[in-house]
Amino acid sequence: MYHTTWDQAIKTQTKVLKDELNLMGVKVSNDKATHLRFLAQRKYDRYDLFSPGETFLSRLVSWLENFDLEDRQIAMEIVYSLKFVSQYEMKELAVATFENVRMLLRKTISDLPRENWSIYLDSREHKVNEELSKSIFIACADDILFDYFRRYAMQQIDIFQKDNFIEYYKLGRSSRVDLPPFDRIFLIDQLSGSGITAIRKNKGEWRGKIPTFIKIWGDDLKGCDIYYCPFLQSSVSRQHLQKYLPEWSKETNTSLIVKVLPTCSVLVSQCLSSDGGITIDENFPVAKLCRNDKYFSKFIDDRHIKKGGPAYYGFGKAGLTLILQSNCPNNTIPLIWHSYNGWFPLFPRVAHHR
Amino acid sequence: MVRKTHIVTKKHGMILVSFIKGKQPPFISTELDILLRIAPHQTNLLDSKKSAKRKTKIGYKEISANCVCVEKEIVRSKSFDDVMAEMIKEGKSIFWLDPTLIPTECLASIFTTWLHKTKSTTNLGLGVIIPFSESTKFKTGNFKTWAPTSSRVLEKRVEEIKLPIWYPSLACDPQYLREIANSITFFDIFPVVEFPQIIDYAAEKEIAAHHYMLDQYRTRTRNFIYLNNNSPTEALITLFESFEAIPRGGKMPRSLVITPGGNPISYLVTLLAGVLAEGIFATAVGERPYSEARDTWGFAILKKVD
Repeated sequence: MYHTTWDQAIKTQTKVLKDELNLMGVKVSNDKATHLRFLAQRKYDRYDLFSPGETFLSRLVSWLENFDLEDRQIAMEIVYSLKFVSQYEMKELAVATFENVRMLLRKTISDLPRENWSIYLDSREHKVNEELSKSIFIACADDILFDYFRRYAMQQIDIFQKDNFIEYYKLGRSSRVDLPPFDRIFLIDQLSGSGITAIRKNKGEWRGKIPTFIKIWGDDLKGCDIYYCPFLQSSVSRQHLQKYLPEWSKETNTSLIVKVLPTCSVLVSQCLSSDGGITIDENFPVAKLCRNDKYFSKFIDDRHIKKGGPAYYGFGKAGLTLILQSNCPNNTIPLIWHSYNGWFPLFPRVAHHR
Repeated sequence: MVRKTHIVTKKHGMILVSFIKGKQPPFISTELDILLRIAPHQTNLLDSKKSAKRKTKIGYKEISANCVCVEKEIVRSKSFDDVMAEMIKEGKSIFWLDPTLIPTECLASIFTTWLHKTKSTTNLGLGVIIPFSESTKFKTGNFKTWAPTSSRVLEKRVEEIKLPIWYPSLACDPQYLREIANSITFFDIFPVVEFPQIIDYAAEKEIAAHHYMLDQYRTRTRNFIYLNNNSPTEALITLFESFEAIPRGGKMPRSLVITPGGNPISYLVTLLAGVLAEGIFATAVGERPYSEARDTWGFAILKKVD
């Protein structure tokens, strides 16, 4: 009886969703309605910035009303392409990031004895832990569950001190005197959607988290290996960093080399790409919808958004349909998150820079 | 120094676990390293075109052993038990196993035999060559429930499994998992999800494809166990600790039921964790998870220690 009621509730919810979308001029198959209802209840409804009692499906209807009737079916393609990273997944990203570092060290340490498997493995783990103890992990963003990251790492290896983990990358010189000796720095970031926040050239000057960090830490970084480790990195960011990091190195005449070690890659959304997520296809119906002045004119580029150029595909033209449980990144297409001029967002966003 | 590269089992003590990525081992094989060929499944394996493409060379000497599934009266090679006993007596350091073509049940029983027959004072480690292919998805509907032992596989009748707690890999075909879910009344479900290296937006749909089973049991997403293929040691320890957290004793013991799936690394990690935790497996009849493997991912090494 209990199960019957539950099954019935699910069926009713799916049917109501389908009927409601139909009334909005959106045709949706049974399968798609079922999947959407399921993902809404299991993931999307947990978005931190929804009000208590507010659900994704109720917002979906209001969001579709932003669009003219003939555009709503195309707008639904955006919804089918959403990728929602829950807090559980974010915790896994934190763990995977630490493990990524461990794997990097396993790969890169040399001069291990190779007489037999047992000696090799013993030496490898010993050397990896020794190298980890000479590493500093620095948070470059909030929302990266840095406490969780630190506790996990300290649980794994007891030789870590709390000072191997620094919560703010703009730490002044006076606060750095007690740090343990280090020869490797890992800059931990949440999302590098365009790479512009990490590094950019503005009026002939290098800006962004990486140049800022290196400027502040100055001579303390001599002889240090630096790794920029975003939990998530988009294809656009990868191309941007591949271009600008060597350029910055050359222009600033620094001996420091910053390597990028992403945990997980995020491709351009499938609703915008015809080449498997590498680039945006401007001819895709969703791409045209994003650029449609009827809708995009309501969006206001603030001075921070402007740093990334026209934002119809998200900050830095990243072309993402990515939602993080704590907030929606600005690299996601703004039709999803902006709330300017009466636009009703599907996932409202709180800007970091204001 | 604490090194979390070990598993502490209740019955078998501490086991060191290491994974090495690469087509060739980064160490030298000594004369104490043996490569086992399991008859009848691998009778011609090392000469076949399939394995020739992989070109992984490991082990100093090759020995044939009858699989644990072979009846004792059928004499082809020495029994696996006898070969194990000889290797231990001769102080061999490790035996390497290439799981290609070995059925899941036999593979689990071989691991179990190693687990039961060795002690921390025995030097003999277990090495597994990890074959690689894109995935090990199974679409067959017929499944059976069984538990590996050191001599053979024990079939378990569904009714015998008390308060089953199920760890199904969501990389398996939804219809296949649904059939298992409809045949066994599970007490709780902890779906195993492969942690993606790339977010390609399809993962949400793959999970949503299991909506029937997950809705049927009202399985919460907080129950999901994420396996990071990029870090198999951590994945194995995580999964094993989760298995061990299930109350298996007392007046209302729960049963651990596992359905491995996903890519070859996830599959091996799940199988090993299940064997170490002495779980029951629900797998497709005749499943050979690595039969399509064309490449080598790397190596897994397990060794008992004090």
